[in-house]
Amino acid sequence: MDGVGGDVNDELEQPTEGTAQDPRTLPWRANAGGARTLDAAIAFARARGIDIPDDVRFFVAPDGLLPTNAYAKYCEVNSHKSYSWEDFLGRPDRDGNRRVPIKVHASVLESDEAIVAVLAHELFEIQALRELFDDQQGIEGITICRLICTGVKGNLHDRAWDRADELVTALRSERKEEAGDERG
Amino acid sequence: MNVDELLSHYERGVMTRDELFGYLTEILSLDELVVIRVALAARDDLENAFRPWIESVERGAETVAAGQSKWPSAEARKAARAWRQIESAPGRFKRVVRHPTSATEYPIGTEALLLEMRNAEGTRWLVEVRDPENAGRCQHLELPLEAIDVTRPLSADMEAADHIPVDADHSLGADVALRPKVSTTPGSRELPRTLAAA
Repeated sequence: MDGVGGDVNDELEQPTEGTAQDPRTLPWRANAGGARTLDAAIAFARARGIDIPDDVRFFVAPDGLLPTNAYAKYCEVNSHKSYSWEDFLGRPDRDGNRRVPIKVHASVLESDEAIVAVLAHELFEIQALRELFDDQQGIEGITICRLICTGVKGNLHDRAWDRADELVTALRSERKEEAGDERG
Repeated sequence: MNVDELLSHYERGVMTRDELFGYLTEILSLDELVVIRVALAARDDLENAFRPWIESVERGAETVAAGQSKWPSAEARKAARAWRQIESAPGRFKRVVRHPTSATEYPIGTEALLLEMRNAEGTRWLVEVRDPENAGRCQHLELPLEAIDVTRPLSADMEAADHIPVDADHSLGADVALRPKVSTTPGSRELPRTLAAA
C-alpha cells in the first residue's frame, strides 16, 4: 500500500517548516480499509495506550471550525486574558458535565497513524495544562500561548509531537513485525 | 460561518467560549458589529464575558489556536473601538420607536441604544432596541441621521401615547423612527409627519 497518509497530508498543508514543531513521522499512512468512525478511532487510540480522560469530548470538526492546516483544535487562548481550567471546557452536556471539546479534522480518521498522532498530541497538551492548573488558580494567557504555539522549542506543543511520534513509530514497528510474520 | 451557526456550535458544547469569541473576532467588522451585539445581548453571560475580549481585540492582542498565532484584522480592531465607544456612552439611551416590519411593536418609552456608524451612504444611526416582551431579544433599526434627535426627549404628548401608529406612506422599506423635535397634537395617536423613514 502506498504511504500515503496521502489524503491526510495533501489535504492539510504542512505548517511552517523549520521550527522542529511538527510531527516527524509524516506522511501518515492511510488505512487500506478507509476511514474509521470517530468512536472506533477513540477506541483504537485507547488500545494504543493513549489515556482519554472522561472530561474530554471529541467531535469531527464541522466545516469552518478548524484553522487552515490544523489537524485538531481544543481551545483558543487570548494573550491578554487570565485563564482558569474552566475556560477550557465547553458548555454542559446533557448529563450536565462540562468537557474539553476536541475537534478533529475528518481526514485524520482515514489513517490509524494520524489518529494516534493527533489524539496523542492533543491529549498530551490538555493533560499538561490540567496539571499546571492543579498548581495554580489562574495562568496568564500569554504564558499559555507560548506553551501551545509553534515556534518555541521544547514547549508543550513540541513535546506533544514527540510523544505522538513515539506512538506512531511503535505502531509502525508493530505492524511491520506483523506483516513479516504473515510473510514468514 | 455566521453568528447564529457559531452560537449553535457553542450551545452544543462543540467549542469553548473563547473559541466562540475567536471566531466572532474573525468576522467582526463595522458591518457585522450590530449583528454580533444583538446576538450576544440575548445571553448576558456572553455579553459580559465578551467585553474584556473586545478590549483585547482593540489592542491587537495575539491569540493562539491549534498551535497557530493570529492577530485581529484592522477591520476587527476598528469595530472593537466602535463597540467600546458605544458601551461607554450610556447617556445615549433614549426613547424611541417601533419597527413596522416586526410583529413586535415598541411602545413609547422603550429604551434603545443609538449607535453612530458610517457606511457607504454616509452617516446613519443604528438603533438597538430591546424587545419589551422579552428582554433577552434585540432588534436593530437603521435610520438616517436626521431621523432622530438624540439630545432631546420625546414630547409629553408622545410620552403619553402607548404606541405611535405607523403610516404606510412613511414606512419606506423597513425602518422608521420618531423624530422628537416636531410637535404633535396633544393626545393624538396619528402619525406625526415627523416620522422619518429609513
